[in-house]
Amino acid sequence: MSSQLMRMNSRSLLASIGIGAALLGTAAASAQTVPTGNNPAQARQIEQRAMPPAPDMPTGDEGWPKISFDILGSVDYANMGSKTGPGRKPGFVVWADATLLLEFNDALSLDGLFQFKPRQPLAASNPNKDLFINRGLDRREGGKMKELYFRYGDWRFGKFVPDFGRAYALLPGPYASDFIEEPEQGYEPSDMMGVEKLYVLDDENGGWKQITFTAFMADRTFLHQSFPYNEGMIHYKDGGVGNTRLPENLLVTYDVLNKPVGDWAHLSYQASVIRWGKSYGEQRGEWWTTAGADITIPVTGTVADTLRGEYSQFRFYVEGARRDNFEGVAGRTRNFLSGSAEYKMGPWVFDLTTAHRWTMDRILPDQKDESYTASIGYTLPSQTVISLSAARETVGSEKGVYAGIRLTKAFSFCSKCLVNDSFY
Amino acid sequence: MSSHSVKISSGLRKLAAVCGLAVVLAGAGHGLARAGAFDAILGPELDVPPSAATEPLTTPTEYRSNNGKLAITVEAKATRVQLGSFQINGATYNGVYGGPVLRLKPGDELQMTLVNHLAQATNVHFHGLQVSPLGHGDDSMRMVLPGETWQYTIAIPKTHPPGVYWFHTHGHGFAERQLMGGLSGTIVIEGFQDQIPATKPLVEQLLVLKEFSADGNGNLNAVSKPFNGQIKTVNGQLMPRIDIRPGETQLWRLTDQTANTYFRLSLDGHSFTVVGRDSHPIPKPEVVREIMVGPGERMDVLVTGAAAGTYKLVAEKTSTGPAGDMFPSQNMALLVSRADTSKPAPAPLGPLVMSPGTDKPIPGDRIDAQRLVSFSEDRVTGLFFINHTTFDHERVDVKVPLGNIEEWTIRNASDELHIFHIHQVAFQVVSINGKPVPFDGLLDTVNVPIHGEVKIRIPFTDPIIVGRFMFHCHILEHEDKGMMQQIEVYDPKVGPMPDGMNMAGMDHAHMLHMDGGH
Repeated sequence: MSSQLMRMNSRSLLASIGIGAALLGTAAASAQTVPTGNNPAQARQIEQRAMPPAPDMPTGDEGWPKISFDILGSVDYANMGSKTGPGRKPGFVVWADATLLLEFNDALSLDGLFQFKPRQPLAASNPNKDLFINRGLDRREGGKMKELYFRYGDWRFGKFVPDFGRAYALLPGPYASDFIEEPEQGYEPSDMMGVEKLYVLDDENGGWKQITFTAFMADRTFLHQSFPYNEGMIHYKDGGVGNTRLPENLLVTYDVLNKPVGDWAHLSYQASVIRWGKSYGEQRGEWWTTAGADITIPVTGTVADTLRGEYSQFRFYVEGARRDNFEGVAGRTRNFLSGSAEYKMGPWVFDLTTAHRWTMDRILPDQKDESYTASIGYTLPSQTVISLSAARETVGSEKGVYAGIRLTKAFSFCSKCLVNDSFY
Repeated sequence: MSSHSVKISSGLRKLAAVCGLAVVLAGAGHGLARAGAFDAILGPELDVPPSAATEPLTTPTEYRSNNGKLAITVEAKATRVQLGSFQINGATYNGVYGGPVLRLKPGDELQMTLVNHLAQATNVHFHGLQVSPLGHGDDSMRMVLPGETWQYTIAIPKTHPPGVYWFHTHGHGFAERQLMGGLSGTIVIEGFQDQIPATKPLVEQLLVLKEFSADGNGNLNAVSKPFNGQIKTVNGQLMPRIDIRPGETQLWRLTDQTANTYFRLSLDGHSFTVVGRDSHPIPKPEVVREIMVGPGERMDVLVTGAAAGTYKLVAEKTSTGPAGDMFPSQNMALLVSRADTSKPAPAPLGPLVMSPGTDKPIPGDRIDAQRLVSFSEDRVTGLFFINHTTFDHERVDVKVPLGNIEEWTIRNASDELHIFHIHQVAFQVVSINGKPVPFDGLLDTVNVPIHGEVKIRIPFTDPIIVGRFMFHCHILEHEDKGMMQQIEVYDPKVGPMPDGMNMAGMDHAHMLHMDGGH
């Protein structure tokens, strides 16, 4: 084993122990399933239409402030092989999302998401450096505040992931969204700061409908830093997606959630557009557009089936996205198309996902990238999810296979606990 | 040894180290109900063997009306409770974890004086009773502060359907914990057996189902999920013994008085004959091998003793869906069937002739309004919604003129079950996922399938219900986190109350300082 790998694995082990201690602490654990059927990022957009309390009435029938604290953690044991270059040695990868919600009253809260995951880029000299760039092997982990914002009614202020696309969180399977995560190569607009206004439309007959407006820019604060692997701070002259002087990157998104399709399914869909300002050194600002939909079809869905643990459903998902003026170059585009089929049956989940990416340029040859992923998961009675996954990816001339076994568990240490709490 | 073999061994050592640490840390803070060190991975189950069934099932303390009136003082207080070999720190009415039983007749008046000895505000809701929400009636919005006393005066109409109902705390934001602590009791409006004459000579067993999630010190877990361990009881007893004679038929009247728990009950070697749901007889009895009751629901079943022997009543493992909870299995009671030579042999059960009384299908030829109630949730913020809003006691969401018959579509836009309940009225289920269902008696709670819909028909026609009350998901975790709305039934000659106006009898001064007792 190389000394470098030993150092990385030692760090991984220490990180694993540290995260394991946090994950499996003495506090109570919750029974939350992995939200494979839900979009955490999307879900963060869904807010109550809070009505500010009337000035002459009491502020409510509950105590404040309230705290909620949860950790969603996973441990992978994975391996990667490739015929086009070196593989990556098998090892453990730890990923944890810790969410904090501090509610001051019905309207005002502070929300935070601390994310610990592999962050170190692969070495530029690695012939497979573009393969599985968002997966963990051979990459040092770091944790940072992915989100930290104030929510006031339908407004958000601070650092959050704008509501653009859902595939990076909704595609089932641990390795399925590799092309899509992160804003530089994918289209997850993370590490942004700004302000958002949400409008929830009144009529819920056709599902929950909402429109989001956001103005934002890249996070150039200390919140961009991570530990132990430090991604550092961004400076304006570093350029990159959204790294404008002012929050002039603008988003409009239309979401519809759980619109009934006859009596047999629920459909959710989204359309969104981002106009990016021109970043330092670029020819143009990018334009991002996306449209996607998923349909959930209960198969054995009666109440009795559900109570017996025999609920089953299909879920099909498709999403396309386009980045015009990709990397700020006029005429360069990157297009994405991803789709998945998921079948849940009691504690089992089976899913197949494919993602395709086209990068086109006026000068450089077109590049087509593909990934195919399959996963099987099982939810234990403790609601720990154990899953086996394998992915095959082609990025240009690089090809590889990534496979692993993962344990995922959500821990709720506090769920809307009163700060000054008594049991009864 | 090759370098590749060294790497594999190193990887296995790391795997062992992480798993070992996980086991040690999962075992730390071991709850009372945890079965072993692998609970974090496998989940705990409470092992209650049949040999633990030493105590006979007892009905909690009963109070009966006399000359048309039942006056009772109910003291809500923190209580140390013994459940088998476990001690828990609960909250009870009058120290009775199983909850007091109040027996009244239609036409009686219940005067309940609630004394709050808790550190939190609390109150009482009379679940299923079709009584007034005004004044000192069934006002679930009125909170009783710590140290305060409040008298509820509940006039039971002479035409009130007989059956098993219940009463429980309804403090929004903490109802789940208070109910889980034990703050509930049973109400029996006599006369149900008159509607099914074959049941009149039968022994009646009240089975009150409760749950508690205890940490290592017997306190309620901060997150009271079944994963953290769960102790399920019958009448406040862990694994009681239910005595029956071979061939004897008993009427078992179950109430799910839990905050969140569904029960899927099976009885070794026996089947159940369902004769009533939510206090109402059903038109046609059903013979089933397992009965399912959700939070707030009631069920009346007949059980006929098998040959002499012992039979476990088991709560089977139950799930509420991909985004819901998994409830571990547990032995609930032991049915002991043995002959009693001092008594004549039990008579066979007579023919089951159901006289549903006032239960008739609600006419659908005149529907005055159609409404949508959409249950949804946000797993990240932990909020639960009805029609994209969370509960606001200052907002009246639905206003209905008295006399309306309405059809409501209850939609479940989530990946777990929800159980719809409305105060003050009973309704008829008309269709499930678009398929019409035959009339099967009136209900006050109904489960809504995942990504499905239930259509119900509600008669807002009884003048006694004029006023403001609530409808909500009766999984109280969801209700506490927002899944509730307020409805006002108003006299059309007078019109609805202005928004923001207090209900008669509601003193908003009592809404101040409801902050957990500080």
